[in-house]
Amino acid sequence: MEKTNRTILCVGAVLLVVGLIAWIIQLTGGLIAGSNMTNVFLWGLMIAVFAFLVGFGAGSQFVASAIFLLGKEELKPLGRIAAVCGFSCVCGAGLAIMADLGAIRNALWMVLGINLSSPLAWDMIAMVTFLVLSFIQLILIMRGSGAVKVFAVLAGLAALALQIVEGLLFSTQTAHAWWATPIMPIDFLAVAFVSGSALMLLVACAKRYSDAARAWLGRFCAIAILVHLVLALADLALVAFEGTPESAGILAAIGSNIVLYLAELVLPAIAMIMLFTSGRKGAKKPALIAAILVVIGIFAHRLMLLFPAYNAPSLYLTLSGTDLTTGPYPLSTGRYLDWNLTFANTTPYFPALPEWVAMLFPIGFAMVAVVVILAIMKKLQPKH
Amino acid sequence: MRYAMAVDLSRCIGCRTCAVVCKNYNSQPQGIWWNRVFTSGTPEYDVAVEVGDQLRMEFVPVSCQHCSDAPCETVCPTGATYIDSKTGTVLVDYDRCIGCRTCASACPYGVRQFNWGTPAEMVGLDDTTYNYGYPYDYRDDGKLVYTPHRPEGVMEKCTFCAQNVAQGLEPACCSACPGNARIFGDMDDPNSAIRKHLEGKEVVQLGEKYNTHPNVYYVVSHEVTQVNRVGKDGDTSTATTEKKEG
Repeated sequence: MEKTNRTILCVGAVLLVVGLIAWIIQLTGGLIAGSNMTNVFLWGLMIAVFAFLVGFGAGSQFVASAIFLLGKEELKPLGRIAAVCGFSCVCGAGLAIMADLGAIRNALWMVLGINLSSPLAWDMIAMVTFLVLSFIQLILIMRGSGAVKVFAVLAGLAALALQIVEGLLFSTQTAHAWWATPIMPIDFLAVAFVSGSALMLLVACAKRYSDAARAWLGRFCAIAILVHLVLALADLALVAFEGTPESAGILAAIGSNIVLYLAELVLPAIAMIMLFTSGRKGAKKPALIAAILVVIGIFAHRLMLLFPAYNAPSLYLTLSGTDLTTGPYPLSTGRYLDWNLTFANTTPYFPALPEWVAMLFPIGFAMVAVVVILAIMKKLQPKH
Repeated sequence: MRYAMAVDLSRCIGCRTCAVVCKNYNSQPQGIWWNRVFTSGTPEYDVAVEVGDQLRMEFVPVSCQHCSDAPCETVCPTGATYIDSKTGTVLVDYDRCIGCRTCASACPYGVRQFNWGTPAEMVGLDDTTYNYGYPYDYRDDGKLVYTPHRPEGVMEKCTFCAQNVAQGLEPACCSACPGNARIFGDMDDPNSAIRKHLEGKEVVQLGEKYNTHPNVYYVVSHEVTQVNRVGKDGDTSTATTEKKEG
């Protein structure tokens, strides 16, 4: 096993074990002790990690499909890694969503009593479909089969569907104006392209690929960033011009989290400029810096899915018999004692220590899975 | 049959008895409130709002709206949240809920309450437990929709006191309201108390833009108004109170 792979395996294993312990603490002590979420701020860090990983998974598959379909011989080893990353990251994302459940003891009902009108059910179906197709693709890659191209198309389409469904999971929730926009599913696709190409750019830097390979990935990534930024800014403009109490709440929530929001926009923008200028020929240093900036920026983006959505109230009343729209109607937060906020319109959210540590569980799992699957593929590869 | 509730805003005195009795009767854990009452238009309680030259103080109780097109039911991945076909009531089967919280996220009324975990122990009661609330489990066609031994990590909310209604009784908030501001009944029955109460009255529903078709109806209040005693010049000598009929 190569040194880089050994390092990833060791770090991943540590993250997996530490994260698993934190998750078990959350499971036994209840989310009341192990998280800072409330009935106002319903989804926290683990859901951000879920969206983060699923984007990297689908995006890696897009890179893999592009490599196999375009027949780029020199990039085929990278295509193999991309396909493995796609499978592993989506497995990690599935684990993240399972870890976020309050009553995992009832999880079997996801199969026995599945409600096909639920976007979460579509998500599960899309995820399982992708994993099956991706798994078959990995076997075909390992055997060097000519049918890889067929499954590169199928797994690529499944990744596309997965990202659209992820977007719909949010955009169908009309109670949150920050999500309820048709831009959301398209932006989920753009973010996946950004994430996957950035991850492969990191791999290309670590594995000493050619400048040409990095230049190709860099162009891929920079164009995807441009599309994502256009969509993100269009979304912001729509909110800014909406002029409703809900949109004012969203803008206030963005203002309260302005550092995170700027990180979401500025870091990928810097990366894009680097990739279009100093990194356009595939130089290692700018490619590496750009990829790291993108990873941080996309994590901020995933967190910013949550803050303006949950901290912008959805229920405004009209004083009966008048046209006077009154202030937002407070919610019961579900927290007590330490919170002093039994009822509130917004609640501050900074993840609790167990949340920070538990998020390492799916990330560590994905890292370990990548190295283990690559090792298995290498071992079982037919000798020619 | 379609169960519904009318909340007559001209009768509500903002005492919050409904919220407290609901919490107690339905054994709600700490921090959880299925029912809440706030003063419309102010972040504080018991504060009047200026409308034209008048001050108005209106209390709006909000609990589950038991929507006919309930987004919480649509998004629930396991069918744990369902609309009872016999009564039209939106219920949650605690044995099926996986605690994903998608339903609460989809609800525009913010009425769903997630049970975040084991409640804190009572201070100074050693190993004894203070029990309150309706003491028996209630199952609707086998689905556990009420239990005093609340499972943690699942979603809960107003059931229109399904355990009562099954016995021909009113929800606890209706029977406890000192102003008889809450009227419960079958909207499909023209002789029901709710239909009779709503007849000829001006009614509003919450969050109409979300197209959820709620089954909670708010009777508009025009009743008590007070001329703003602090005029723009700060003169309080002309303070008067008048009463208008809606």
